[in-house]
Amino acid sequence: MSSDARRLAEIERLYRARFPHFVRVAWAVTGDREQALDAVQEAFAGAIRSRRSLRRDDALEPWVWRAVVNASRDRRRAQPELPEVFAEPEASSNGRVEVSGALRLAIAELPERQRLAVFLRYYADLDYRGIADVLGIETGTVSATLNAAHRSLRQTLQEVER
Amino acid sequence: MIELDERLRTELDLLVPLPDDLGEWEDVLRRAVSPRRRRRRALVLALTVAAVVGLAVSPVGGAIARQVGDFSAWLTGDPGEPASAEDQRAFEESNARSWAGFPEGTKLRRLISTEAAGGSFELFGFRTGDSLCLRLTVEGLKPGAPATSCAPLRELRAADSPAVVVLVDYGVGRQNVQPNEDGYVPPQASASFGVVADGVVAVELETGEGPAPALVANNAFLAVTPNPPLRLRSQSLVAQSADGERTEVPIAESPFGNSFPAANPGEAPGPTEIDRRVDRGTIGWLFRREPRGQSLAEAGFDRWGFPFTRGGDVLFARVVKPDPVGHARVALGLVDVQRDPAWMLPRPTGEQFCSILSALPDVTLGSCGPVGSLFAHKPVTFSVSGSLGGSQYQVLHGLASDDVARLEVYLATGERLAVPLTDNVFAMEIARTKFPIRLVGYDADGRVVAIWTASDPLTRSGPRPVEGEMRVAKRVVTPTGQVATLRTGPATEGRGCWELRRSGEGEGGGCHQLEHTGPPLPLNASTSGLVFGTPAPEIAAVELRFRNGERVRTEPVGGVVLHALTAAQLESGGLELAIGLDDDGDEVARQRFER
Repeated sequence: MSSDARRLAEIERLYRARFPHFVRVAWAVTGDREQALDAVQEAFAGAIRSRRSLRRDDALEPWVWRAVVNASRDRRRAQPELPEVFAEPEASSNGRVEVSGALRLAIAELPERQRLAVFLRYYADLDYRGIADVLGIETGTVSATLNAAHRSLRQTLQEVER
Repeated sequence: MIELDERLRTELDLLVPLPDDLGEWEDVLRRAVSPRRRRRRALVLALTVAAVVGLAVSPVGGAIARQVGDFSAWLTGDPGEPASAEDQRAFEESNARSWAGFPEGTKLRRLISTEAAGGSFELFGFRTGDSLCLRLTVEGLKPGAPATSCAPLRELRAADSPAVVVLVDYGVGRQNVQPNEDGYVPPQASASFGVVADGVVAVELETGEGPAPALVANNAFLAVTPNPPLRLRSQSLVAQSADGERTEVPIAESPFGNSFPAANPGEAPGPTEIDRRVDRGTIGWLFRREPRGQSLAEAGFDRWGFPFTRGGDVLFARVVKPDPVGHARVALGLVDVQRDPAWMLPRPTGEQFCSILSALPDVTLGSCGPVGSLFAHKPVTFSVSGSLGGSQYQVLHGLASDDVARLEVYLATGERLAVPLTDNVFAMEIARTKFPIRLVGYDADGRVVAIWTASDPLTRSGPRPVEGEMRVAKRVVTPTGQVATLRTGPATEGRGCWELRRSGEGEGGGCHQLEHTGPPLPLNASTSGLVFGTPAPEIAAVELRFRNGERVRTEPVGGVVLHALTAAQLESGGLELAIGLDDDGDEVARQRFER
């Protein structure tokens, strides 16, 4: 098998192994499942088109994650309103704001880098090194970013349950 | 922190659950060659693809192949993954039952799997000898026998296009619809498959009803069309490379029933004049009974009994491989025929010469004839044979007398290939898209001693039925209960076409040639009580005279005579005489019938 065919096979393997996780992150970013599917498909299509420019020792997965995140952000920016998933929650019938709704709002209000770090941590199960590769930041910065996100989200959870 | 982590994970799971979607890799491949197309549902996507096919399609050429890579994955590697033990075992069991089976130890590679029309389709591939073979298995649809078809590796080595089509329009299952007036029911799915060069990321089949996207993986493609309309036939293929290059690859259309596609126009290049005439050639080693090749037992040809032994004693027989790296084998035998064989044709008794070909996949055919008739007037005997109608390859095979030192075949594409010739036997696979061909035999001095030209046998030249215009013209029932239905219709040129379906006997058909050839009254009288034939156009009516003294006058319908005897006519000895009459009632032809 040629190196080109081998690289194509690697991309296909990654797609088949991690497709739901890619979609999940994209869904979280775009707030729309169809947009998410579209973003993932486009990201992988781009990976195929660019596979010859990847060096042999380039790690494929972070490259594709970056493509998925970027494609998702592009779609998110194209939407004038807040994504549906993270839209402002409605009060329940007893007037109490549900946890998920509050958390949804809290996530939506996180700075973008923190929000992406949360998605990659919890939806993609990436470790700090992986998140750093995707976001193009140092591993230590990932730690600080996630800590900041956790503080905000913990506060929200505590307020809702009070 | 741990507690928050768990809480967060739980809440985030509720917000965006993990999708159970497995994705559509083929959609990714299509997008890779058509950037910025947005994903919709598969059907919509297929239609979108349909809209862009035809744009920027490149002609087939060497440059294309260089851009997308080559077939090295198939020539030197093993694409795909090993078949499951169950699939491998099923193949081996099937292979063991086949007279022209693949060599023991042939290992399947699993290439593509898909679900369609309620069936599970799996495409396997393997190399054997100098051939690449693909095998499609279908679960859940009946009929759905595995389809195996092969291409010579030579085609892959020299391919100037990024795809090699192996089999098209293989129908499986039967749609739950009423048969059409010919009794045909469309299949539940139609499958086409082949191999692609490195770098090909998408393949689309053109069927005349818009392009049908194929699955592409492991250097192979598989297109499955669910619930195709009757007569849906693949016409061409477009292979797309990752950088957007699109290349059209021709397909040899498969026949439908008695309807054969038009033959490729033109003729093959090559010599047209015989330099030296050779009569009464021979195969010296065979008649000297030299033990060339293998014995029947060594070649495994005796597993079910050598066919020639039916009705005769094998005096001497050997099995020869014309191409040492090929799979085709030919058995040559001298048989002492004491009575008519049960299923072979030779009617004369006495010593006969028989040959039988075993070629990939499941091509097994042979013939016998008087020893003296072999090479009586030509030093080469030829035939072109195949198995499945949708196969893209035919086997050119035959025998050459000792006067022939070498053979060449000239293809319509301009290619000129040496034909493997060993111990007077030759066989090679030829792509149907490369017909017509010209086979040329040379003697030891390089003189042309044999020329034979041929069109693809799965095509027809000359007049063809006008599509959709055939109508039932006459239906008769014989005393034995056989129903014969005659359908006639206009032809693309000439006097029209006909089809005859006889219950229990299948069907036949043809078109009237522009000029009638042969006897003016060529009628056949069957033992079931059917009289049938295509008389000359000047015959306006036929008087049939029976041995019981009765006479019947019948007129050709659409140029065809079709008549059923009564029980009395049949029991009294049947037809004795037919008299052809012109418009004025004058006799213009007469035909006698033996008891």
